Formats: sequence, C-alpha cells, structure tokens
Amino acid sequence: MASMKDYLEKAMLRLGSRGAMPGERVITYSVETFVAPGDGYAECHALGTENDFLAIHNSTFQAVTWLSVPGCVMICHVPIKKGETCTVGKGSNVKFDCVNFVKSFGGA
Amino acid sequence: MPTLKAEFERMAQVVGSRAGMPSGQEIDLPLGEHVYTAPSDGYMCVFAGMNDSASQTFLLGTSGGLNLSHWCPRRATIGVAAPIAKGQTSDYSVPSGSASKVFFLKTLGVLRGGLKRLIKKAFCLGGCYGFA
Repeated sequence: MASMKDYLEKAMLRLGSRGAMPGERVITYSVETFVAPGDGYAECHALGTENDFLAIHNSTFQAVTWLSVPGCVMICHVPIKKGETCTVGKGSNVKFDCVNFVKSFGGA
Repeated sequence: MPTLKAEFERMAQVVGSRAGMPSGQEIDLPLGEHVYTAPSDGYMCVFAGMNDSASQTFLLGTSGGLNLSHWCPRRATIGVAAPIAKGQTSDYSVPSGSASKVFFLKTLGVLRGGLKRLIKKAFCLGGCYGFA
C-alpha cells in the first residue's frame, strides 16, 4: 500500500529531474571569471586559430575541448551551483568570446 | 528530534539530487545531422571513435541553451553529454562511417518518479494514504 512518503518521493523525483535541466534562460558574460548567480550550467565559447585547447572549470568540475580546424568555434560547459566561481582556461592560439550562464529550471 | 520541516528538506535534497542523475535506459539515435525532440528529461550523449581515417569534429546544441563542440583525433575515442529537458530539441552533427554512437539517456527521476503507477497501485488495492 502506498504511503504519503512514497507519494512525496515519487513527486520529488519527477520534479527534481526537471529542476536539474537547463532552463533556456541565458546570461552572457564577457569576462573569463564570474560568480554563478544561481544553479545551472556555465558554457564557454571561443575561436581557435591553430590546434589548441579551451577549458572551463569550477571548484570540482572541468571540461576541455580541442580545436581541429582553424577558425572553428570551440564550446564546452560544466554544471555549477549558485555562488560558485567559474574560470576559463585557454591556449595561446585561442580567442575568448564569451561565457553563457544557463540557469536550470529549479535554479535558486 | 528532527522537525517535520527538517526531515522534509533532507528528503527533498537527497531525492532531488538523485532525480537529475542519468539512468541506464537509453534510446539509440541515427548518426549524421539530425534534430531530436527529447521525450523526457535526460541527456544527449555522444561516443565518437576514430580509426585510422582523419580526425573529425562533431557538434551538439540544445534549445535549452547548451552547446558542445568536440574534436576526436585519429585512433582515439571521446564521450560527451549534455542535459536536455522534455520537449526541448537537440540538433547534432556526428559523422557516420566512424565507430560512433549517439543516444538519449533518461534521468533516474523520469524512470522512478511520477504518480501514475502509484495512483494505479493505490486504487487497485483500494487502500488509503497514511504516513509511513
């Protein structure tokens, strides 16, 4: 027999799943270090001229991408929580463009 | 003794954290250039494996606002994933002809959450709700 606790747990699982997903609200930063205004994802955009790397990291996660064709855009992202600092790292042949902060649906 | 509010908050945090994690249930998608509408909350995942042929670049973007670009060198394998909500679309470009795979992975919250099964079970048993 289902209890109220089971009912709550099932509802929380479904809602929590949506809460963690990217919520289509994007704030663009032109600096390479910023503090997340809410829970969500930090995505970095850059342009490379030669084989080189682009990385974005917070205190626990790092994402790295490499360039294959000169002049191509490079993009990578990490999940980030509210108040956490996010920093971009790049090779010398990479021109930084912007960082997009994508707020999650449930982001505080 | 913990209050009901504290107990509820603890439960919400634990369950909420679990809800966003990827499950093992995947839906295979075709290689090449495609647009896919997510049937539920989950992750768009790509494995790319290059043999001795030239390295390739693949791209993935979602209407939720996240994008990925990745280069897979020769004789290497890479894997990436991007979260996507139900109803959002993802357009991806993953070269065919390589040892690559694109698939959609549901979240644990989608698999284990929801009230349909719970309500059906309650009505079938003819029971009433109560705190456990």
